[in-house]
Amino acid sequence: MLGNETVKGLLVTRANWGTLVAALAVLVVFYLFVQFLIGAGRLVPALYASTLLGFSAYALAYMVSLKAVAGTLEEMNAGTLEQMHLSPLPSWALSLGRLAAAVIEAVGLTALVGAGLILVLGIDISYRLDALVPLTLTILDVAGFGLLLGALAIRVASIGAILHVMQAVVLLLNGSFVPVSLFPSWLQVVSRLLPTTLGVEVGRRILLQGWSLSAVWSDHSLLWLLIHSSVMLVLGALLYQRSILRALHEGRLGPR
Amino acid sequence: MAIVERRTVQGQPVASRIPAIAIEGLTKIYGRDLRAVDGIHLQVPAGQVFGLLGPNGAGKTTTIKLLCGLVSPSAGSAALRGFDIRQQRSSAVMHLGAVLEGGRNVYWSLSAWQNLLYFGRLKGLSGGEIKPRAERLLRDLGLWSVRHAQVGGFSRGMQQKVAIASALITDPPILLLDEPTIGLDVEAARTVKDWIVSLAQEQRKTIVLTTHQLNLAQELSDRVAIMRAGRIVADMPVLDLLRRFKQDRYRIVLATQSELPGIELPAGATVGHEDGATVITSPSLQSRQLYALLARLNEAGLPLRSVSPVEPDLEDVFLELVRGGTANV
Repeated sequence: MLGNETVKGLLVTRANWGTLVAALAVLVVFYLFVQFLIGAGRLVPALYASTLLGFSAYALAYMVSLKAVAGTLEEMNAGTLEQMHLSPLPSWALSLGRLAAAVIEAVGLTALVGAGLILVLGIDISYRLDALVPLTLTILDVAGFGLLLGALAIRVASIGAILHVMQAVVLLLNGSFVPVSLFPSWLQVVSRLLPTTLGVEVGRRILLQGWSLSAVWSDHSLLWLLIHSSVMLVLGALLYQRSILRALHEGRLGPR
Repeated sequence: MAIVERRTVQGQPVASRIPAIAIEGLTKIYGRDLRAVDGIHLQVPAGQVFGLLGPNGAGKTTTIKLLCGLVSPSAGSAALRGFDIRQQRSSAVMHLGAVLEGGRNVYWSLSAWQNLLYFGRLKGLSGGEIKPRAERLLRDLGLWSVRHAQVGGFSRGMQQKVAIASALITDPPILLLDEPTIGLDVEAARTVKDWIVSLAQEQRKTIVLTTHQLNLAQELSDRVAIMRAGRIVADMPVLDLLRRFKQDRYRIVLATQSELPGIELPAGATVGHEDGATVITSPSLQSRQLYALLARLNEAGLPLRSVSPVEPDLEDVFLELVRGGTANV
């Protein structure tokens, strides 16, 4: 099931490769543009590693949420979401398959953008296996975020505006370009409620400051990330499934 | 409903004796009081082509989606080959393929081949099971040579063929086709129609067909039901329905072209001219009235060429029923 959905997702993406290349190019240019802004008109290599971690997390959230919303809407309008639900599989398994495909695709594309920037800009990051833990939790966090927006896409007509606002808020507040510690305390709380913020903080501590897993566990940052990701994923899954079941009840899974 | 779980009766599987589709009191209420489907009862035996007709908003598409399990009923039940679509959904949908109205039904950015592989796997088939079926379907539909091209680049008729092929990839015994020829040009519609005939006659599929094209329904269906305001107002074999609504209307052809001056015609009669002849189409007449009319024409010296009864078509029946002129039949 997961393989079938993933293969389909990748084939659809490959068929739209022109759009994909343009989207990746925009992300790269956007990253460089913001570097100029925070460097007061010049590129500051010392900021590359830190900002790339935050920006990669944003790019992941951007792609997963876009896939969750635009993909869901497109499938509804094309009637393929209804066809999908003519499968003998339970609807939660179908939703899981779609989510897994979106996440695998987004992780792959984010890795492509990150690797490209690392190579082109010569960014120096010390790769440590410990980082896989916050990376995995951040991916789950973003998956939950995608499910929440996907649930809204099924129910709310103006989901496009909501999606853009949420993506912009994540970019501005997840610490990609301005450390969260510089925000007013109330804004720090808000930013840490958003997906990716806690993951970026833990990731930076491990990859850039050399902290161990036990150290990020001891200062509770990893614990908070674990809680955040778990809540986001469970909440997203419950709401998405509820939206699907309600749409099935009301016959709104098809073209609008 | 556990009918299929019982093994055999006199050596025959019980499943073969149960209707392909059984609907009992099926009702769907949207919001507080919009009754899209209002307590319908139907049984469609295996191998029958069943036309579901009705004006826009009559409840046809909702009925189809209820049968697919894509809409939850407010009351009543629907079963496919004995499997309740709500209680035994995964078994029920394995007997079903559907092409739904209003959507593409398949992925236009994928090829026909990729679509069939995807939908086959979605229904639990292995690649080894899917490939020969996909090849046969694509060859039968004349799409084999373009199987690797994106469906988005196909003509509308070819896209619809891919949608039908995808619905058939598991070789389901029941096929639901919601407006299968809508938006197709004449040639594409003919191809799809021929394919439906082939599925019904050669493969003995049970087909439920909704359409606005009454000639299509008349041509393809063994039996039709006409829906109005969520209810079934007629349900019987096409020929019986036409017979039931047959009226004593006559087509009287005179061998000369005339405006029939001074001839008293029954109210509602129409007069036209065809190839130098005069054609009178009468309303429903009793024999006595018909003979009186023929006598008047004879007295006026108008040569009679032929008199024949007017056979109603499904459109006449449909219009009479949906306009509410007749009680349920």
